[in-house]
Amino acid sequence: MNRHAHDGRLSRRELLRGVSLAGAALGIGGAELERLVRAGQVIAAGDTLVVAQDTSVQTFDPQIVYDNTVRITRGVYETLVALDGSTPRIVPRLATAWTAAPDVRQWTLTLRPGVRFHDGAAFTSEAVKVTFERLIKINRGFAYAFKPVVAGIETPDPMTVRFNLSTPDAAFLAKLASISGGLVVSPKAVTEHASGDDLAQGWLRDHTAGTGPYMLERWDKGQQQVTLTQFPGYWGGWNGSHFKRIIFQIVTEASTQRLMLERGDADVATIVAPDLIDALARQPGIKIAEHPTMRIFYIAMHCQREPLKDPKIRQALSYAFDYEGARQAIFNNRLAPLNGPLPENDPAHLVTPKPYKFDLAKARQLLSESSRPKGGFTLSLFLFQGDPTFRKAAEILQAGLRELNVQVTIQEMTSSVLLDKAGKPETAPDLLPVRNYPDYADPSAMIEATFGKDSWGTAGWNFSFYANDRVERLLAGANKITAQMRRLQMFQEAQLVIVAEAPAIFIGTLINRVPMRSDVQGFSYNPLLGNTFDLYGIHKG
Amino acid sequence: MAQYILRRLALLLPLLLGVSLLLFVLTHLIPADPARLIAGEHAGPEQVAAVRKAFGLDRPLPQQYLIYLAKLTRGDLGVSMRTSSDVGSDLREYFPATLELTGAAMIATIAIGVPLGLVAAIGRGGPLDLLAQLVSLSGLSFPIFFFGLILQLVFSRWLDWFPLAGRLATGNLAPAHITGLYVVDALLTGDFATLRSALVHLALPTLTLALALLALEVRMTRSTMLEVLSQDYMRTAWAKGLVPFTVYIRHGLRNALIPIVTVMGLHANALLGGVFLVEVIFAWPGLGLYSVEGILALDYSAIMGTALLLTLVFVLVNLAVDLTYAVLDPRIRY
Amino acid sequence: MRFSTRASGTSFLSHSIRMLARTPAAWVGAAIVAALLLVAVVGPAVTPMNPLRIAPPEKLQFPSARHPLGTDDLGRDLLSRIVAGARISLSVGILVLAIAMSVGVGLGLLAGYFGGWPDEAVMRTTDVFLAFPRLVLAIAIAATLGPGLYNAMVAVALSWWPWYTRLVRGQLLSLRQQEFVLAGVSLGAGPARILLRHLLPNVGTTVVIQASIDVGYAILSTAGLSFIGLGAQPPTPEWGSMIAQARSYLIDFWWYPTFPGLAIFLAVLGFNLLGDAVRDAFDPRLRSLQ
Repeated sequence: MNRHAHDGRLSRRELLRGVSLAGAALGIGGAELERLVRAGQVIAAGDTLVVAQDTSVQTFDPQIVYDNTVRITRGVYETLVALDGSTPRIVPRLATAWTAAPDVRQWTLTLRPGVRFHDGAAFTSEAVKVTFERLIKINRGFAYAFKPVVAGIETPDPMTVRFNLSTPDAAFLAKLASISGGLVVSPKAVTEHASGDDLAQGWLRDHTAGTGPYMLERWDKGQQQVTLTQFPGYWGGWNGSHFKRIIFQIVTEASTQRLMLERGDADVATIVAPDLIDALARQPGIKIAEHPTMRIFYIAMHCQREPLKDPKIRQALSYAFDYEGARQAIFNNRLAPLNGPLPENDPAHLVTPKPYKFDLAKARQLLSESSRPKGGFTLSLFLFQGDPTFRKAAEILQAGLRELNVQVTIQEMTSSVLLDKAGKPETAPDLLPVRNYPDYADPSAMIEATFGKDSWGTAGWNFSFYANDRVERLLAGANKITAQMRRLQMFQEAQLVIVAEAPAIFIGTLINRVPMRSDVQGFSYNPLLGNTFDLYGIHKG
Repeated sequence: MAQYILRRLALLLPLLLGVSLLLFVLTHLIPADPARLIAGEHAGPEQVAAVRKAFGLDRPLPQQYLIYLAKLTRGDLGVSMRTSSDVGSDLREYFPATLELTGAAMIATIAIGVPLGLVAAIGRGGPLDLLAQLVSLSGLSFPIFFFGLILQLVFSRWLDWFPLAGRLATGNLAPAHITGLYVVDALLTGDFATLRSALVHLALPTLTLALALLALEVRMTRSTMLEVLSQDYMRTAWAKGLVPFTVYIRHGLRNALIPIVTVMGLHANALLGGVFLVEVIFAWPGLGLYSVEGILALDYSAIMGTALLLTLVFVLVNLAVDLTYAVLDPRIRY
Repeated sequence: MRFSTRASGTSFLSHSIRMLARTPAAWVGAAIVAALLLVAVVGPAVTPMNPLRIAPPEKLQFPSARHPLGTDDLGRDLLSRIVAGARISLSVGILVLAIAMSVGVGLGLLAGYFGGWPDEAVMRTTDVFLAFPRLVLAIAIAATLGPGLYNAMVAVALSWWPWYTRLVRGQLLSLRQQEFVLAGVSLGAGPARILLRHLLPNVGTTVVIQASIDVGYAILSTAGLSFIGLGAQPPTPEWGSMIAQARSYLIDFWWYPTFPGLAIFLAVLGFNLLGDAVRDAFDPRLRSLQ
């Protein structure tokens, strides 16, 4: 493909080369040159990263953001503690040390000194208090993990903060390290820019005031472009290789993103379609960063409604799904196994492989022993619109069930409509393909959310409307103790019960694949942090 | 004449009322809860309820409608539940992009369609006529969304002549905001590099959008010209010994302009419908994209606001078309 | 305009048909439509494979002997799916128009014949419906009704009826004053009789001509809705939804979206050619130019 001829514009690479040569010849400095070049041309700096972002920005408010915009806000705001690299190990970030009271109802954290916000305010325990109280008051997004648990926040001195909890929570620290777990916002900004009692939601929608390495330079709605620039006073310093500027160009069309990456108009793409990624992998100048995730992919079955109320029927369905075919057709074989509610790389995942395989004979046999021996019923299935993965899985299940004389009617709808219906057991579909990942690094998070009795519908993420007393007892017990071995045992038991009752068809654990230009280095991904990646460490080699 | 205009404009009000009612009913028939979307996927029932209360969605429907109307009289289109910003300012933000696209499509239609139709009519039955007819018929039969994809594939991916999507290259700064139309603004500020970028980005979406309209324009021009050409006054013109150019353009085309202009007005309809699909394919940040996302998010305020704006534009365009008649045909007086 | 009742209209009709037969475009269009009908009726019985048969190892294959048009992203045979889609598209075109016409013509007759306040009521309603773009209205209605092919068809039909109402009403208004109607009234014929025996046949030609042109658009509009996700649901092999699913594969697996796209194109082209030729043949004004 002729890279020299896109509409007369030079590719960024060529421009960079040309510009630096010209600059050297003329003795002009980098910044000056950049400004010259910027006038009407593509920004040709090697110190700019362009990310093709898949969803538009609604708000930058750290206490509200809960969609893919988190990719951006995590470079601007920071949490108290962080996860180490790709592991679930908790390391210091804005807090340097921490202790928990023996009854796990009080957590005390020592804060890092000398940290400043983008607007100049100093980072103290007051900022932490303001942030969390704001989170709970606004009550959106991740507030659900903190609101029922946090009873009060004390600030005994500027560098110490104490959380008093209403119930013991062994997972509290993990919550603090999670993707939206208390991104600390400047109290100065909150007070100065508050409008009425909105706690500065209006201002923080389009502006930022965090402690993170980058700050928001411009949010160009017309061009759908977010520009982040370095925060010179960042406590982590700027030694080493970092990008001066990071541009998020919002492009919702997957094939457009793909072409942008090929042409070098973007450095990192955020598409997920396996076929597109494979096509990109074959192009020169592009590489794919692959990492295991904790995202599980399954089809929830409605356990409170006939005929799926009968566990034998659910088991029959579990044998009627072509797991290998799905792996091949949907994921091009890039899919890790899934034996139960917990993903492969969770330390507490079920070690016994699940019994279910694609076996129509066994499915027929189980069906014949069930309450509907001859099949002959119809199941409803809802699809989240816009994601072919769900659709393909649905069609594969549909084809398998056709063999059992079971019909599946599929209805695709937008997520708001779907979640509204699926939220209540009366209107939820019989079958629902879902993706889920734990919000924080604790096995209880996932199991409770997916199969706990308090998580039915959108109260959690339990679209199977499953409830089992033994499982509840095991989970409650595990929450009260911190002894790891004992906890693991309890989780294993709970999972065995769940898998035997087949409240869902467990398809696989997703593998995160991010296509980027070959010269992008330092890409770091943590499975517990959704599909965000570290903006500080990434650079061009 | 002035009275006529005033009368037409007066009719606008009840029309907008009717449209707002229709859309209000439609959007509220959708069996889902926008509060859910705002509150977020993982929101608990109490969070959703709080959001619902905050946006006044828990009030009875007729009351919601009246509140909406009351705000409307003050020029307040409400707050978009999706973007959390004022719908009015959202519309102002995204309208210029759509205006630029539809404007360019109309220009392209006239610039290409009329000459083509003219040529077809003059060379009636000949190869050019056949070609023109084929082109126009194909244009009408091609699914617009498919055409856009093909253009992207051929001209962007294979030939690399045009960019894939968007209004400007990534990293390009928009020209100083005067009208919001990048091409116009770039021209006015003398920013030729940006002008070039804007034009080049405009090319493929314009062509896609103009496809169906072009086809219709060619046919209309052709058939009207054919009618006109057979009229007596044309024979008179020939008899007078005038040059073909004068005959065709001054006598022929001018009379044919009325139906041609009608078509443009009528097909504002087709244009505005097609704009949705085109903006989605080319990631063009205009009203089409804004309203599609609004519909998907059940953003009542955004949907109503956009629909009202579209209606307004539509009615004004029709009025303009009618007034143009009066200009073109001295016999028509209101 | 027709100035006589049906009896002496025979020569008009046969004259028009004869003219139609002389137009090559008409033959091409008719051939395409006939082929489409054939494929729709007979096709599914003859296709090599089950359009719903999923075969993951065969996904996204280039056209070959086994799969003459290639396969889709789940390994299904595209030829079989496109053939199955023909039946769907044809029914869509006809059904949409049937609904639009029955509502539109009915209301138009009402408005045009009775005048007065029924006329006003109908006209104001059509004003509101016509006030904004047809496709936009269809999208809004489809979003309300929920996903599904039938819902999409109803949505398109409901956005279409005003055009027929206007058409019919306009015709009726001028016909009402014609002599043969006045004669009928003075002879004591009731409104129903006049409507059915005298007015409808006259109006009918115009409506049928308009419909034949519109079939293509009906198919396109419904495909457009399916493209956005509001129409046919999986695994239905409707051409528009096939293109929607195939969208991101255009570059590397071009056959996947291209063949359904071409199918839509050909079908609509056929109807347009035929419709145009029919209109030209039946339009007295163009007579002098033939």
